[in-house]
Amino acid sequence: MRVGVKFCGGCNPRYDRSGELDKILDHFAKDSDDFAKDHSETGKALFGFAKDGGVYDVMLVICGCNNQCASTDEYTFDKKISVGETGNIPSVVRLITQYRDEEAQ
Amino acid sequence: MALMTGAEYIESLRKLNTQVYMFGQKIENWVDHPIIRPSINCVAITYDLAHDAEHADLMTATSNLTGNKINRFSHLHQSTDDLRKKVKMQRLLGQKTASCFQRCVGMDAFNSVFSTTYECDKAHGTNYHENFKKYLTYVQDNDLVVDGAMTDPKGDRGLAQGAQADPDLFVHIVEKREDGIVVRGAKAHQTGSINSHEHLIMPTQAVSEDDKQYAVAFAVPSDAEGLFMVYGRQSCDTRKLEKDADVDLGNKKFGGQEALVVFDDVFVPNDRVFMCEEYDFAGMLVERFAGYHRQSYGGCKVGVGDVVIGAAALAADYNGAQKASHIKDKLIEMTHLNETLYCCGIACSAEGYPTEAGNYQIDLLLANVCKQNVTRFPYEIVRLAEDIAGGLMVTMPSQADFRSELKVPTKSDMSLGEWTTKFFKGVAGVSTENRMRILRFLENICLGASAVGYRTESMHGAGSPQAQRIMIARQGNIAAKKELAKVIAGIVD
Repeated sequence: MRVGVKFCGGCNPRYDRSGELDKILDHFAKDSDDFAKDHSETGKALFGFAKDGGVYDVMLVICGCNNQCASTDEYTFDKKISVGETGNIPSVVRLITQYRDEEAQ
Repeated sequence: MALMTGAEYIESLRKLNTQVYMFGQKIENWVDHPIIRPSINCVAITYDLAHDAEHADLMTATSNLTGNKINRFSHLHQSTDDLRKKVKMQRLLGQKTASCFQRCVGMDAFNSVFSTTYECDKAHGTNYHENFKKYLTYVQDNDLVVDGAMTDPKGDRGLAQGAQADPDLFVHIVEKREDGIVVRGAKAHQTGSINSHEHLIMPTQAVSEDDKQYAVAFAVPSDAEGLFMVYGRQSCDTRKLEKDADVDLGNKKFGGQEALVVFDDVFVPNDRVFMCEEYDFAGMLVERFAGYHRQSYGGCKVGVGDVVIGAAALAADYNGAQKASHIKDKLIEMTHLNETLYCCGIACSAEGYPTEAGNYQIDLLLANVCKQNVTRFPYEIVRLAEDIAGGLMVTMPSQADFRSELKVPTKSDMSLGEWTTKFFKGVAGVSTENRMRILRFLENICLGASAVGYRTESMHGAGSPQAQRIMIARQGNIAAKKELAKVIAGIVD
């Protein structure tokens, strides 16, 4: 499963977006060799920064606030998870785990 | 071509032969000049953040002309979403620099020239829109900075362009050739002009048929033959020339810049001409550019305001006054005023609409309301910041005093630095230097070099207060409101 990561533009973030992404990645670290900036760097990488025109199983959009204005038109994806505030990282992790397990079946 | 980095942008400026004067001298290396460099650093940030995954969503867009990824500062707005993202991008940059970052005038000029040339061509059978699309494609492909130049020196404000004692007080056409035009005059208060690769010139006000030679819009490179610039000095600017200047600057890395741009018979080839005596479209171009630029202030000044609020709060912390209820209330008021400006920037964007040319225009009434508020609220925000900071922000010794090892010949045998550090210590756990740093930041933004960008530019940039009041009167639709009142009051004429 490929997860494309996108940040919003960060005009007025209510929390540390990079920090929250790191918490998500830390949870999945055992399944990813590294956080590859594009998925070609290592075939096992679960997460990578989304590239224009990229195709992903899941888009993970880390937005600085609940306005969630980051655009995702440039990508093709099956599922989208938007994070608009800190505190719901555990539910994000659960959702990604669920999608990964569903794909594995 | 790939988007430039900030370092590549700075190197690209060195290749230009821009003629710059300051303090009565010709400046040969203006890129590294300590007074000019902070403003270049600001523009460089607009390049660097486009490569940062945490900010690229705001800093970049897909060009409707080429389909390529471009810096949003070169983008023609294709939706209200684009208009909102423009404001958010400007807020972000205001937060990162606490300064005027100068690149938005070009963006506002692109969008207004694009839509005006389309309608001018329809009316007059001219070819300016195609000229402009080619020019903008060149700008986008090369990731250039363009100064959008509108304001003329204007001379006697009571007289039209052609009635001025000196005809050069407004840029005008002096010669029309087969291959182009020759222009003469100057543009004043030009933000970021020295740091720009190109200039996009527009008329500054509506033009009558009698003065049609003043209805001119064109683009020239910064080092065009006959073009030179004179740097506009700012409050406390020579502090940047002091040895090891740091704390006393308040904002060491970033700053704004304005210059007088003079055109002494500059030749413009036809393919860079976007208006040539079509005087009936001068007013449209002015109104549209002013509208976009008034929208811009609902982003950039809000970002700077965010930093001012943070600095005031820190000053209160470092002074040990943060728990006082009046301090908390003043910070609330500053936030309220700042977010009100943001509301206006977002509102005029959300209510935008497509022009005939296809790019999106902001709501003119709301954009003028936005700027009208910007002419007032930053002044109140800095007044409250000064209130919170206290008088020390304008009386403290210099950086040189705080760092001085010179012994003062008194009983205690302490150095000047030890004495000044001792007496200006605030709360425990915060160094005297850090307390001085935040107070100097506030001094700089309230009445130093950065006050140019946060106060007076808020007053006069994109049009002085009366200009917005005229537009609000025109757009306010009083007649319809009278009818609303009649209905409610039961008045039947």
